Amino acid sequence: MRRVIAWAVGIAAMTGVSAAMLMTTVPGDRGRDEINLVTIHELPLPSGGVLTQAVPLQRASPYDIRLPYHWRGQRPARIQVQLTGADGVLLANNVESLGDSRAPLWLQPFGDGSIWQHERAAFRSIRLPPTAGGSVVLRLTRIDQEPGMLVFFASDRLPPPSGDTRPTLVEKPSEFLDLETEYGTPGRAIAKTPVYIPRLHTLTPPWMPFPVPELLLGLIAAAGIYLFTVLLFSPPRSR
Amino acid sequence: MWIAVLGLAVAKGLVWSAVLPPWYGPDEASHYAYVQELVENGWLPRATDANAALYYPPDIVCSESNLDLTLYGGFHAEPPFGIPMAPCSASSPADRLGSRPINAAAGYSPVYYAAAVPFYLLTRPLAVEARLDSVRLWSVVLGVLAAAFAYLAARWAFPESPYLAFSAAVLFTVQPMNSQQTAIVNNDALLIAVTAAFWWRFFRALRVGVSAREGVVLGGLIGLAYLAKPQGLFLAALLPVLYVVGLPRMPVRSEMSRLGGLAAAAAVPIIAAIGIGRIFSQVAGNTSALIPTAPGVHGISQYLSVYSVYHFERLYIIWITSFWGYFGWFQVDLPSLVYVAIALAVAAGLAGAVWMAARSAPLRPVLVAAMLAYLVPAALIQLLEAYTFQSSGQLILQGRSFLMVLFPLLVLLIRGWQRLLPARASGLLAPAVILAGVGLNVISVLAMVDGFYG
Repeated sequence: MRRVIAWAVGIAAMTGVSAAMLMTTVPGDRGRDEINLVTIHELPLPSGGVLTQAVPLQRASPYDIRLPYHWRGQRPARIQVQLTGADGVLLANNVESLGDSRAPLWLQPFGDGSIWQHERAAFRSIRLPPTAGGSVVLRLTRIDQEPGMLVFFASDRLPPPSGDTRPTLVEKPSEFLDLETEYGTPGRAIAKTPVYIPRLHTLTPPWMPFPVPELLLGLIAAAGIYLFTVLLFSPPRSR
Repeated sequence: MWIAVLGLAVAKGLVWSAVLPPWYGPDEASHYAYVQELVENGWLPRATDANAALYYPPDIVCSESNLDLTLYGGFHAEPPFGIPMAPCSASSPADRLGSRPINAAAGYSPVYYAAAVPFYLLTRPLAVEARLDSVRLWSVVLGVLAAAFAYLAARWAFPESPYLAFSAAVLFTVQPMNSQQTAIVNNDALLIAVTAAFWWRFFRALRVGVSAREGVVLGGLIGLAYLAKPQGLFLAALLPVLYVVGLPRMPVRSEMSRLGGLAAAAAVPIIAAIGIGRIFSQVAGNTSALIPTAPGVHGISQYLSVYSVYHFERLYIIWITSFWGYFGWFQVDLPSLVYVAIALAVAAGLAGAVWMAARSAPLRPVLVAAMLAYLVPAALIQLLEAYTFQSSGQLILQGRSFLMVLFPLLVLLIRGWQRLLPARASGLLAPAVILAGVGLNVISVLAMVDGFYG
């Protein structure tokens, strides 16, 4: 009976950590190569300030634009967000409240030591109409009068011959606003398995065809559970 | 048990080398270009240059470009799934040739790279990505060797408990950054394997003493570690520790004679390795592996402030985030709470180890030696960065720079956790360490799958 419980504990622990990852909500798909961390820097937006950025959509079914920001005011900063389609049609015109971006250091969404962590930045999701395509223009106008600086982030457009053709900010022609686009509907990571696996196998070595890596990963997890159980019932002198 | 460690190391190495996209290992193109140019151009790289990638073989540059890693700013890239890109193709024989013998890895001796040549030749007719995958297998082999040496080292570090030794070897094997660096083309893999062998002989010598023959073995391993990566030479600073902790004192005259013999035995292979390294540098025309000096205000106070700003964030990056798991070119991180759990576990383990060293007389010598084995090379690596910063203003360290001291750190952590656990729960430690280590490895693979392929 004790062995059965030990096996159950091992399986539950391994399943638990895997499930925590597999049940995480992830975007349907992410835009690629949108933030240049090499040249990223703060871009303060004072009250009344405006930022206008063309955002090329990389795929069909856009879901949202994730906009990193930093704000430490007592009350939320407010921005007017206007989205215009490639044909000049107004797609959205909303007012967004941006709350304090700080979270306790140990609960931050980014614990990786990246700029997001030391800026204690947060991301605001700006929904896109699913029918939007081509390129949309994002126009941010700060409309609150709160003291303190609302900060967005920008990167430098790379000089030739980098081939960097991304559109720049209207107000700062050598920089572009850092943001991320997302596509499709967010869901559990496990539901994206049919996306992950074919993509993975476009890049795996010829000697690791489907399902070899997947089986090996399962084998590693199973070995962890097996060794846990075996060692738990080892003779006391071996411990 | 050793078969289980080796099996785990093989499976883990193959999975990691498959999941990390080509070129997404840090500096992987430079290390791979070194191997390819050894074969195809027949040359050693002669100088390093910030723009060295301009001279790499076109098939490498083209393949990187197809995966959205360009010469400019690779730190933000992801494989471009789902978006249209103009693929480039470089498959003629001339595309395998570098245009100039300049490489960012030029400061390293060819030991790791020359040994990788057979792996390159196995897949020479294939596309560059397959050749890269094949050369990655050399690092996987080194990872398996490192696991074997770690197991042998752990048997000496935990002589009273085969299962604690086994758990230490497993944790070493599945540690996520160790897993990454032994799955990509990078001379870190050789340094990790050689230092694991060094720790085996080190912990053995703590128990059985140091003979002149052992001095030659230790010196040889230090020399090989130096040829893998120059920081390997810092292991030499631990030889006095072995002498003090591992040998009973003798009368002064005999002591001097023994000391002289041991020093000579260890020094000969180290000096020989340094000489070999210098010969390679001369043949290749390399001048210095150090970063050139640069003007500007970058003294020690600036260096210390870099580490203290943002709530000591750089310390956290070096010792928690990028030491335990921050993958690719810093593209994939672990959930924040995992880092917090690691930080707490490390803090508890180190505190417990200090407590055990203070309270447990029988274990004190080995624990103190393990502490020095961890701290002395780590401090020297840190000083190297301080020196480089002072002359050039550049920070050169990441967490993976300290993987050579991973094993003594794990010895300290496991001893510390052992001390903190109640005696009746001590049997839980080894299984819990294994379950946590393997769980962390699985989490890391899943995080990479989402980060790179999501």
